Amino acid sequence: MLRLATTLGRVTATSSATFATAARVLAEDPMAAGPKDIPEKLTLTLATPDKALYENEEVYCTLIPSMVGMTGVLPGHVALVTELKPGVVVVQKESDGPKEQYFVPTGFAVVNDDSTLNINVPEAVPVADIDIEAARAAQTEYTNAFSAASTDEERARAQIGAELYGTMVLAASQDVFA
Amino acid sequence: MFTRAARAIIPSAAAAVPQNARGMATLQEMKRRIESVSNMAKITSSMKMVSAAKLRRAEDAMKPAMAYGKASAALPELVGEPEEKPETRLVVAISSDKGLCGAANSVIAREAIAIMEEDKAAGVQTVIANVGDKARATLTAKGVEVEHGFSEFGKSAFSFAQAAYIADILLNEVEFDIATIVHNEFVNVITYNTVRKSVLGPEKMAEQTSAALGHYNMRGDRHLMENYASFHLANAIFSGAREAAAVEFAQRMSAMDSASTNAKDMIERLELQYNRTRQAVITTELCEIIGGMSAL
Repeated sequence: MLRLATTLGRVTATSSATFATAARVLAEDPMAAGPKDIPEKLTLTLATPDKALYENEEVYCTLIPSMVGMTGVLPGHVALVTELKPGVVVVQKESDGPKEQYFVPTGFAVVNDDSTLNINVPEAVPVADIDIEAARAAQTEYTNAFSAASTDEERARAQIGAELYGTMVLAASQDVFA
Repeated sequence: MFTRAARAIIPSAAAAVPQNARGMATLQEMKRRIESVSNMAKITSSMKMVSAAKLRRAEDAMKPAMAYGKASAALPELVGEPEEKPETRLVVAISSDKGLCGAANSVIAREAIAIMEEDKAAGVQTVIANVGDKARATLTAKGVEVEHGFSEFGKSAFSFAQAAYIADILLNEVEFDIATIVHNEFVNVITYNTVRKSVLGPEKMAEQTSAALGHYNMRGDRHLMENYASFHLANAIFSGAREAAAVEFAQRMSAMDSASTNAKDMIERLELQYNRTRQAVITTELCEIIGGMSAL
């Protein structure tokens, strides 16, 4: 997971050109398309390379760790594209059902007009399966590496690692979303 | 007379061997040939078995990868084709490391060359990258310069880390407006399609002002769409490679199946010939003995 995170971090760092669409989007009224029929359920695809945890499954609600914080997605949510931060994806199939929690290192989530939610993540681990001691050790290792880093790249790598494992420790140690 | 007729059918290699008048060497030659063909049949049929087992595993690995690739491609589909003609194109030709799988690898090389020729006519600069040894060998033999080649991915299924590694190198080292991924699409064990999948380059993806995406709420920094394009390149390579692997094993299975059938036919023909020759030799000997007897 660590190697994946740094690879993606590097991919992220290669970007350079301006982003034209965002300004245009902000200037437009999201409801301009008119009111739509809102389905009762959210159609969720939560896919990792080796396992599709959900594939076009109807769920009640999903929480995603977006770049601006945890975002709850219910049916009829405004169309949305977001990058994910390390964090926990919470899926609730029924409004009174159990909350399934998966820790994800990074990825992307797209909500479409028809209440479909596509989440692509390189890896997803059930929060209950996290070895908190190992995560803590890795966090310490990266925190030390950050203070010892001499180049920008080393610093960025250490920061990504520390953030990832820090969030992992948090997610595993407190049952935030239960 | 029979002996001579039988001898004529045997290929020249066997005919060149010195033979005595009774044709014993011919029989020995044929026996050896039957043995070597049946040994070959043993190899091809066991390769078929191995491919069948590997195909099952590759199909299992392909299913989640397909769902993953489909989910990842949904947004780029909304973004659509580039508004203006691309100036540079990166072709990622995905083949396998090993051969003996019918035309599955050569069609990839042919398709890559076709794209290059189309681009040449349209004035688009093309950079060829390739995954898997086989297409590279074909492309290089045809004088195409493969700028980035990736191979030897090991025996387990193509992993996302490998795809991310490839995408990372390509994004860092090649400037492209659009990437075209060429791979074989799995239809069933017998059929496959060679497809081209377009992935916009990070800068183009960000510049694209598509109407379908107009009302989407963009959450992230200003590099959001660029990052998506980078991530999607890795995802597309990943799902394409997993699908291509299933095609490779399916094609190897059917290639080995027809090779085994051919070998079986050949053994049957050779055995018939062998028996006829053997009978002819016996007949000749009897004639000689009877002829000698009556001469006394």
